[in-house]
Amino acid sequence: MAILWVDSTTNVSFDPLPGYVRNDPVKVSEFTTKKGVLYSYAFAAFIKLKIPVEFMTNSDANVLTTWCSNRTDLFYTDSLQNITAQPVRITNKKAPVYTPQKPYTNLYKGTIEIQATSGYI
Amino acid sequence: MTAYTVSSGFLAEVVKTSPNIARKFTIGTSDYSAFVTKWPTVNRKWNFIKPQDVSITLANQGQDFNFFQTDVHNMAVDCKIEAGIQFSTSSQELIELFKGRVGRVTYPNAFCTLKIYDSIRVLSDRYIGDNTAPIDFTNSEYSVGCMAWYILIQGGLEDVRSTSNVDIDYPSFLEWSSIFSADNINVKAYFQGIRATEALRKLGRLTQSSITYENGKVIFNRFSTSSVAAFDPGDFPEIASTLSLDERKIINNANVNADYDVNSKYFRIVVNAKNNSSINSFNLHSTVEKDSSIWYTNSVSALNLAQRLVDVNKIPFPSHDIKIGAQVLAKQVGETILVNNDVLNLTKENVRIMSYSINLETMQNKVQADASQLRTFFTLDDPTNGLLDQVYNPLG
Repeated sequence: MAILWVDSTTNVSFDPLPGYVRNDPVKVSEFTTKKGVLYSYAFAAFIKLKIPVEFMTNSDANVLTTWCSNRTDLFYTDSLQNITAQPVRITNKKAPVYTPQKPYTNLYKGTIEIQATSGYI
Repeated sequence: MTAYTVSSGFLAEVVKTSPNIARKFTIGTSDYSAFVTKWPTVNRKWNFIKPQDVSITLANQGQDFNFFQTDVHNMAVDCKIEAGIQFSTSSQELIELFKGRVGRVTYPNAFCTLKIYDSIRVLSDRYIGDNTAPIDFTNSEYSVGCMAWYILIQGGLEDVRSTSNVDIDYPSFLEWSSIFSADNINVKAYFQGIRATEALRKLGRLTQSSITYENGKVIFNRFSTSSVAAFDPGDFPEIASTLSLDERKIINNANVNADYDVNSKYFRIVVNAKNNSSINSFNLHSTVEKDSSIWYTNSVSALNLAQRLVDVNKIPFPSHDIKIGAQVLAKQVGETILVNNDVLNLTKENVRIMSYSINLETMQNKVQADASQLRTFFTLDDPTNGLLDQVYNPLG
């Protein structure tokens, strides 16, 4: 179970599907010297997730769309990834959950992309 | 030789293959490091004191930097760029690489780009004397240190002769000026509207000195042998290494003009130094030192310069251009370093850093180093007992 929320009364919970990707980018300058020694200067890393979801209600999907459009500051908790109350934003370029879930007409599926608002290095 | 004061932990960390490098950008007392989208490059050179400017791009999507536009007086605040080591989440050790004020603000789309000018820009904004009211230092002789201090204070720097001076590295100034005082090398000057930075560059050229701006202060050096062991950045840490030998840089015949007559506009003294061996091998490469703003008062001092010019430059000396990582982060101009070039079978050659370029974005830095001024210079121009001074002790 994962949950995105603004406060205790405004939240969207969902079950991430298989295909759930955590791919934390690292801001790094890396080079190899003439003698083959690798030097790595890592300046920052941050949480970045792609979470496929399905069977989401219309109201929850609309909330996510609003948060995505406004780039609202959110919190994210995910027991699978051992993440608790991580400040994040939805970073989809368009509405994250908008594809109708066949054969239903009032349930939707999509992929939520979220990124932490600060690094952890 | 002055150097950044850093801990042994800093020095141990910075040479690692994966150190925790920290970078910090402040405007006034506020830390805006998290907003930086592209860090600048800081350049310094041994014989070229000139205000530098850097550009730094900041994220302004949150309108955090609109305060420059709402009140332009916010530009008149000191900005600082530091870099160093992050030991833990709450502990870091930083050195100041650049300090200055915002000279230009642009808002391209949702970003804010600041052009920040060096703090020593005051030296280039101030003129000494003018055509109608020149500053005349021709009635007496002045020590090199005295003239340098005058230029610095006229340039707007703090006039405090102690280590608490916030603008001038006083210990380096004392050590540097004592070199010339000990040899009784004096100057005269006549300023008719010259920037303070230009006057300093002229004095640096006349004395073959390094006058640079680092760590927030003007630093003085006259290179000879090094009193501390060279810094060893590790076994072949260079990303790239180029060695060059440039015949165009040879000086084997130097004429130095001294004792300038302001009214008649001519130099009463011209001395010459030459190296015949170099001339025979590489043909004649001459230089003339002639400056009507600052000049030596006697032939002994002028000969000192002529001999040094020829001694340093009589043969093409190997110049190392090195691309290297963060190992040189706390190194300053004038410090010595061990360099390698495997193709040329050079291992741990002791050379002096003459210029550097610290790229804070990638930490792939450039250093130019050579051994041109890494020895004791021998002269026979003692003013009392010397045999080569044709004015005070002519032969025959």
